[in-house]
Amino acid sequence: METSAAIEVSGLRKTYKGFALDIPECRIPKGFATALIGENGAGKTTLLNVLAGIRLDYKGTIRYFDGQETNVEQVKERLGYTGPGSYFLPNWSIAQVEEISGLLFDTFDAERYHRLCAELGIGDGDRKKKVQSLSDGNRMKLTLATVLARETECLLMDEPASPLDPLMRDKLCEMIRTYLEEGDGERSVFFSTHNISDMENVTDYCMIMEHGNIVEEGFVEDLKEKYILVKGETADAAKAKEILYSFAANQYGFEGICLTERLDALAGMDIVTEVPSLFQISVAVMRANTKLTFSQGGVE
Amino acid sequence: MRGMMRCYRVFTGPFYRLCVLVLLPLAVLLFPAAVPIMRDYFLFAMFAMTIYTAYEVFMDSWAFGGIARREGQLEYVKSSARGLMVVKKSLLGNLFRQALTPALILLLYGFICRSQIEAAEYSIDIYIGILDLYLIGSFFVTAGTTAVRFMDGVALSMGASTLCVWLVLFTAVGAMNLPWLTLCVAAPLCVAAGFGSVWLIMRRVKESYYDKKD
Amino acid sequence: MKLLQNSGVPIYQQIAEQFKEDILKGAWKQGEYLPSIRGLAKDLKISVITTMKAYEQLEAEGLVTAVPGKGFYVNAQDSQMLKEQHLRKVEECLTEAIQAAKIAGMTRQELSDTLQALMQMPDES
Repeated sequence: METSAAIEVSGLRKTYKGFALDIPECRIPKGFATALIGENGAGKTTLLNVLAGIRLDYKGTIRYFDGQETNVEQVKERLGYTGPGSYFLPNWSIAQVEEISGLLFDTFDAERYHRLCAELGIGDGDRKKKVQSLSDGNRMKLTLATVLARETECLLMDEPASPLDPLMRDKLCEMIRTYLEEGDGERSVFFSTHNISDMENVTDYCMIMEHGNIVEEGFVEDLKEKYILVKGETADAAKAKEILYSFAANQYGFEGICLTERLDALAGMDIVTEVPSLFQISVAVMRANTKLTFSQGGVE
Repeated sequence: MRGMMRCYRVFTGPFYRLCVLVLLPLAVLLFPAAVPIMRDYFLFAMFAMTIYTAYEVFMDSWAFGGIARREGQLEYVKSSARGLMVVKKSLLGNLFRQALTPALILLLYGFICRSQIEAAEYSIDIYIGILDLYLIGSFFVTAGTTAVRFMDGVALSMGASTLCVWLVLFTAVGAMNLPWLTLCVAAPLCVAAGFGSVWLIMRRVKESYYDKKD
Repeated sequence: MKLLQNSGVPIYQQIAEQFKEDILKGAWKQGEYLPSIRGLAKDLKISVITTMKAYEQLEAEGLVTAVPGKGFYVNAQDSQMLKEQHLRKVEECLTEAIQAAKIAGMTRQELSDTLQALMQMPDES
């Protein structure tokens, strides 16, 4: 599909203590929500930090908004970055965060911030509450409120779903959809997540990272055509193992993800196929690329 | 200047400001005025600068505490193009306030107790000595608050504050017989410490955009 | 709109079918714009790409036309053209059935009997 790019990365390289982030080419499509999936330590946070301009020691070029701008300082006003952990100073209060946001960003709208704080139930209406006394979930909500109270064109969110409860994750998905809808194709969202299932219904494009490289990417609907979930009988397990992309078996049969183009090789076996979920695809791709070793569900 | 004060105001909480700008200076000023023995201007200056140093260093952990730590806590600030400027301005604003507060305390006390001071016929050396105390206190406050910004936790800032108090006392006693020499040394040192502190903190914040070099 | 997450039929197809049905029923008038892809995604709580794919399918079937930057509007539903379209679909399916019958070694008679038998079954939909 032809899309313009919200952010375009070329020749990105960053090494740090035996870890190397190496992304020759990558485009974050404009007008969509893109999920960044990968193991802990795969480089997701580093990539997001680099894109948000809070990490500057890298090689390569990053072009923002259809290649208009390469200087991140010029686009920070149009980017909205949220991160976990040490995002605010711990002794700032909810009211203070508002004042600081007004100083830091031109388009920060205090009205909208109030509304979001109330809507998300941050600090139960106590505006003097300090950041350090908020729970992880509430802290994440506060970061979301500051970012969504501004006029931005691209959200860069590091693990927004992790600290949130199921209800709030649903709300987060809704907020992302609303954000995209209001942008009418001009706004994009790029987020990393471990909670693939919870975020699947808001994910348009997906990038899977393993030790600093993007190992698979594409529109979710395309990936769901590229890969297919296959289930079959124990008798065919050994042969199927050679063909399948990812494979697991037990005494009752086998199951795995198969590249759709290789499905013909399974002809003659007693199998059923299913469209895989994004979670299943991600796990298969991650397993195929991980350095960790898994017991592959041995066939007796 | 207005931008500086605004950044400072925004960076610090209202309770901190109430303490540092109103309650604590007033306490330092009013308590001795009620105690007859403290009517000695020099003794008051000694007392005021010690207490001022103690609370100033301690209180800083509620304003800028920990901002120069390696992990940094400023991701939000750094995600703004104006972030560094806001931090710098608020640090400078704080420096300005730190220079002003003890000076005002000392001057106001001098004004309140002017009858006693005239009666005692202070020599010029005493006034220089008081200026020295101001400079010594300010120097260690700058040093102490800078240290606190690299640390995390109330216990550490309490320790830093205690240490600074002792340093102020020892230096003040040691410098008592050399008021003019102390003035010549302390004045430039104070100015250097102030700007050095801002420079150092800003360098640390800027460094947090980059990984540690091994 | 009733969407089933785990029915085996991709969501985008379910959406496309629904719209197709509504368009053919005349619930959407000629020239009317369908909801925006992002608006529909928001309302149905699904991803943008899914609605986009549904609309693309409708477009491929000639039911709607895409206008870049504006959305998708409903085409004139010429009954003659529709009938042809359906005829083509019937031919396609039958061809497939014939092929399968050949593989299974069915005779012409058997195949036509099967068709007859199927047509006598009560209408499911």
